[in-house]
Amino acid sequence: MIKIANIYYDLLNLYGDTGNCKALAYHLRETGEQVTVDNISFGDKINFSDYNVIFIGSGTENNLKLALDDILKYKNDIIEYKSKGGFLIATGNSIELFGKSALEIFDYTVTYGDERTVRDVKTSLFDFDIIGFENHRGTIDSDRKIIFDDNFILTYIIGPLLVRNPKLTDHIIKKLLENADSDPSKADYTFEEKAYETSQGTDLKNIAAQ
Amino acid sequence: MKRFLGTLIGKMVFLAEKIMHYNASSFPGEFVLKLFPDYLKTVKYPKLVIMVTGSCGKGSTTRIIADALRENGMTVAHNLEGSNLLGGVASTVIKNIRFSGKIPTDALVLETDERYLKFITKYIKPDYLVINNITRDQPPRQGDFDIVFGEILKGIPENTHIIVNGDDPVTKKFSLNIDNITYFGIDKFFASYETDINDVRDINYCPKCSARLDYKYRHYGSVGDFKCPSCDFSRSTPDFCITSVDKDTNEITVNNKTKITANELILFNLYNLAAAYSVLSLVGISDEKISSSLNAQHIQNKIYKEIVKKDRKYIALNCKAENNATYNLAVIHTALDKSPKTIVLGLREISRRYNFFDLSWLYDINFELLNDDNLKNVVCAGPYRYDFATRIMLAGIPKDKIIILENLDHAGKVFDEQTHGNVYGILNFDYIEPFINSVNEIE
Repeated sequence: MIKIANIYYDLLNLYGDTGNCKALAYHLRETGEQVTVDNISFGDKINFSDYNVIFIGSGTENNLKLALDDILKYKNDIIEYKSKGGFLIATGNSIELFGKSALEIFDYTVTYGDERTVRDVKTSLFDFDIIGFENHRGTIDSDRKIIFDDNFILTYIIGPLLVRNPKLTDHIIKKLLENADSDPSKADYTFEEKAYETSQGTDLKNIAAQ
Repeated sequence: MKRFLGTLIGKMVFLAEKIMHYNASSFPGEFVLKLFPDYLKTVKYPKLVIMVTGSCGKGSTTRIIADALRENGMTVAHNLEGSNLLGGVASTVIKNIRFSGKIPTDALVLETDERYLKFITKYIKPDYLVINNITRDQPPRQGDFDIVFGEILKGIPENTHIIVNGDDPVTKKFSLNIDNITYFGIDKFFASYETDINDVRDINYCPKCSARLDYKYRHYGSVGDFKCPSCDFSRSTPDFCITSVDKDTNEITVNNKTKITANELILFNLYNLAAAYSVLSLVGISDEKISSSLNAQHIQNKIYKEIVKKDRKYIALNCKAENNATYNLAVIHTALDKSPKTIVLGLREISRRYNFFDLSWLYDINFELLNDDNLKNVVCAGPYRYDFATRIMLAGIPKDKIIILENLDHAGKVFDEQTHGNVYGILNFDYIEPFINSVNEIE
């Protein structure tokens, strides 16, 4: 049984971020694994230790402030969750919650300029390429487009990161099912893989490859 | 002098375009503004200036208002759909202006881009400004709806009377900054819902006190009869309200008394009519006259088109890529049909403005609402067919219902032979024509 929580789901959902949760739950179920998904919002109690995977997505700057006020009280819970190998996937500007002057789980600093960063990106994680789209005003002082530590994956890439990167979904599922009976090879990523190929064939004038 | 020269040059550019059969409606204006940046300041505008802005439907609303004013004996200058940036507005001015520097019409009605409103109102002060809605729209360009709200707010001049959708907490937010607003709205009607359809919404929490908003019913997303449980932020009774909608006769009633026959009952069209009604009434036109000028025959059909072939209905629902609200309304509309059905999805270009690969908005569309036994097939077509197919699969719709097509050229045979029930094309505007052509090929 894999338990997933989509936290601040009705506050931080600006750019199709709910797609990640859908993709992971769908493919986990294909492997034969039982999956539960809890949508949890601001003001609700979040029991981090109940979950295997936590998703958090992008929001307007006002909504991000609301989420920040709420999430700060969980700082120790999140540190413990991380050290025990819990997965957390943060997309878009929600990564700003985890840096300095916020939860301080990571040591990047966020600065805000007037210009937004709006671009296609191609980067890599583990041993494969990752594609995605960024649309944010803040910037962090790190060269990495994806921050990765323990099982926390944080990136300014917005929205359906796992949908667009079936290899990443597969990687996460394999790790989640390491000691389970379910078979990760039963997950079928044909549509996602073809969509990935399409995106690679498209002329991306604005691609900011590393 | 500058004004005279600007006008002369602008009109010559228009003439040159005409001779060369070249049609770029904003070019003459852009050209003149480059030479004389303050050109628009020198113009004598009509007594009545109306502007319409927002994410969806501003072009249609502008046209409805302009046509109705003409119908009621006024002369009107108005910009063509899409010419809604500063250059386009300047072109409209140049087209209509006399060399005396005066626009001789009784009214000027302008569709204005939501981000450019502040640049336009620097020169032209509207008496009335309609703000239709503010939704997620073109995120690479707009950022998000809060940013758009802020940009519109900056563009509202002091003495302008604003008319906004009172059913939408996002536009209702203007009441926190501005007094004396006129609201339009729609009461509960056949497409409204009381249950939580588990969709992605633009706003869930009160902008004043952050409590979770309560709803009696919703029309879509965050739009409906909302009320904050802990402060006074709520849908106020609209000044101009569509109080009933008759599904069979297409007759709508405004404020329980004035009847209008709408050409289509798609929510955005109803809101456009309600918005136009409000302005027309505020400028002093009687209810009877508004009613007769808004009746169906005067409004060009745009969102919805229906064709019957071999006893099956084919319905084209015109949506905007990068705008989940238009798609969600099409999905809600399609879900109302409880008979066997097929949906067709696709688009040619994500955006005409830029070349980004961003389809994240597909996950803000509630395709899950269509996942039932009545849904027989889903056709995914076009360059992004696999992105659509993935989205449909992740909505839980069985993969064996999905038909993949490279494009919609001559797809009539596929619709006719491989799909079942009524066919709903939930399509970006650039795929409406190929869909209709394909349907027309069915024999």
